[in-house]
Amino acid sequence: MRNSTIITRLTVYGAISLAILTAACAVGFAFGSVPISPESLWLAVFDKSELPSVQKTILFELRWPRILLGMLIGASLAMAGTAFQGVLRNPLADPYIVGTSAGASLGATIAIVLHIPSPFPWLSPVAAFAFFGAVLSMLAVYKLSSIDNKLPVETFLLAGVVVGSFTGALVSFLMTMANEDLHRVIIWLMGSLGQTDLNLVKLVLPYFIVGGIWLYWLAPSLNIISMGDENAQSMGVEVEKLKVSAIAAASLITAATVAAGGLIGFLGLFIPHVTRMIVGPDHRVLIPIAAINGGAFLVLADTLARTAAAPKEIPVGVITALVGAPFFFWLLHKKRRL
Amino acid sequence: MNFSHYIRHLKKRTALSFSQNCNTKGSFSKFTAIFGRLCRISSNKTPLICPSVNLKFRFFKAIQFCFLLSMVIIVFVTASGCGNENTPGGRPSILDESSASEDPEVQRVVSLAPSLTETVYDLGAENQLKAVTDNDHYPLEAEKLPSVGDMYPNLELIAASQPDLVLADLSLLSQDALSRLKQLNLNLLCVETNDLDDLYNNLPILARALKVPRKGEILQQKLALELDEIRKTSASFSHPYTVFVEIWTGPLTTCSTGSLMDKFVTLAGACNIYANQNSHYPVVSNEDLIKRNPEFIILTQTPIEQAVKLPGWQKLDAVKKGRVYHIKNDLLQRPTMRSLEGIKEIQHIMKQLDAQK
Repeated sequence: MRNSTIITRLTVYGAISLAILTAACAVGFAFGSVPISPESLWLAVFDKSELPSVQKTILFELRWPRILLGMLIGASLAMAGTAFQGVLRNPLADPYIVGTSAGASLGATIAIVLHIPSPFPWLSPVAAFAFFGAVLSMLAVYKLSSIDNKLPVETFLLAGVVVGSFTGALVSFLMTMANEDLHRVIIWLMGSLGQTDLNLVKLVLPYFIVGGIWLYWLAPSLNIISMGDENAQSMGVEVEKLKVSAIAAASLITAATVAAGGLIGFLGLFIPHVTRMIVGPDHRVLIPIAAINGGAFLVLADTLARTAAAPKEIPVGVITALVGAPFFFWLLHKKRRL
Repeated sequence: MNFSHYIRHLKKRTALSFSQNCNTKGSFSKFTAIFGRLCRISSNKTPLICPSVNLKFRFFKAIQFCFLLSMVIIVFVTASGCGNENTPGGRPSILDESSASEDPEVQRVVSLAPSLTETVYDLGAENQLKAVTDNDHYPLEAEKLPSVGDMYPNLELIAASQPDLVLADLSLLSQDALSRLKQLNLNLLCVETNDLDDLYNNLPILARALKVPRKGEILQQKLALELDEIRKTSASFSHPYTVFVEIWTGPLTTCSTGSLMDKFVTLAGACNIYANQNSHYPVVSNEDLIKRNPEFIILTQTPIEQAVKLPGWQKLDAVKKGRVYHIKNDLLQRPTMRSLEGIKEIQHIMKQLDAQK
């Protein structure tokens, strides 16, 4: 399989992953805190007009947007994680490594604590602040770590950790200062798709499409840079530009997803690894397959979050780590890498 | 690019894929060495290797520009498209009263706040109540009703209970949940109850929505009478006694100006030693409490025996004189008719203190 052409691999793995994604969507559509009979589900898919309005509301206004957003966020985080792991050549890299998460949480916390009013009903101020917090922290990390227009990987990772700790401390400080909003901040920090509506989907979709195309465009260069900066340079890849470009694309996708769904951890770290174990390290195959797998995984995790302790919802960030970590460990063990 | 360039490029591409596949260090370094030499030999300004990669970088700027442009366009399009919708400015106390009173019959009510559940029971409309939140523990019958979650209500369960009236309190519902509820085309009655005056104003609105207007009037009159009496009593004390209200001891948390508890304590005629802090529920230190030395202490969470053992509390005058009292937290945390009992309990304590003099 490894030596077959890229088209074959893309089709085969893509078909398998898409089948899993479809199954995940079906499961997410069928299960929720309100049980829906198989007949109603049949009607929902094939003859909407016959469906009672309550079930129509539940299925199409509540569940469907959540599934869509879950797919988008899962796919975006997986793509961003793949790009970061590729460009930084570090297996520990994840979409939040550049301090995106810390910046986003600072922005969101500020919006929650200061009760920033929303200028438009469709735009949550928390989402807007989270997005700009993420972008600003990313720029800060870039400025801190670039030396003579170069971006040494170690400095970049360190700068990400430094900015992350600093903004994390600010978030903790704000949380102690305003304890009546504490639960909102905590819920946001744990990540949840609970209040999803189609507006959020519309806000994330352009970033997903543009960022996805952008990252896929970089896939061949990411393959070359995996051989090391000097080697890639000698092969004509403009390494520094590539780094900046890939990091910018991945960070923007991450910022949009964080703004929409809060911090959903672990997914961006382990989906690229799992996918790499299956399809191999070629980014031209890895990026799209990881995106599909990430989408499927988050849809399933969100279904579990909705149903496991109904009527309460478990933050989906808890589920991703709770289910993902043992699975990742099992896979690592199976592959005899531990 | 001429043809020979292209051929060379194709050869390099196959070489590249070869090196990726065989993955051995020796052949790889040999490969890069050849490439390095090739690069130095070529005198062209454009790098010889991987013209596709070079081409890509020329596109980066264009893509980056398109990306920024798309961001700006999205913001503007969505802003202009949705700008004329009503904005939630100024936090109105009632959002859609008229639509709530149009229905001829209200049969299925969902309450999203414990205080509203209590008020529904006070209004005698409990038979219409079909679902409540996890935090509704009073009256006991309310616990038996199905739950739709907490401050982040489960929208599926709300929709599934097919309500013809949803009662919500702005101060007890997350903004995200509220905006999502509004999109579901539910008959939503949203009130904001920050003190008992708000309750006085909201009672007839709730009663009208629940189709029990007469009971609303009776309850409103009762509330007015009780409030009058409480205000009279609060003016009769020898001086406003200073009080510390405990909400939690790990960490030591109290209430301050702006919170419901502080309003009740002030209404009772006491003086909260932690008024005018920057947070509604500030965390305070034992040291500072000893410095402020309140005349009596109200505990709402911790039992009295435990509280007096806290470090330094033995130094407090209130503890020395045995002026530590326990009032159930429900009575001071919910803007309902029951809170009158809590306020009267505080006044009872202060009457005792007056009598001790």
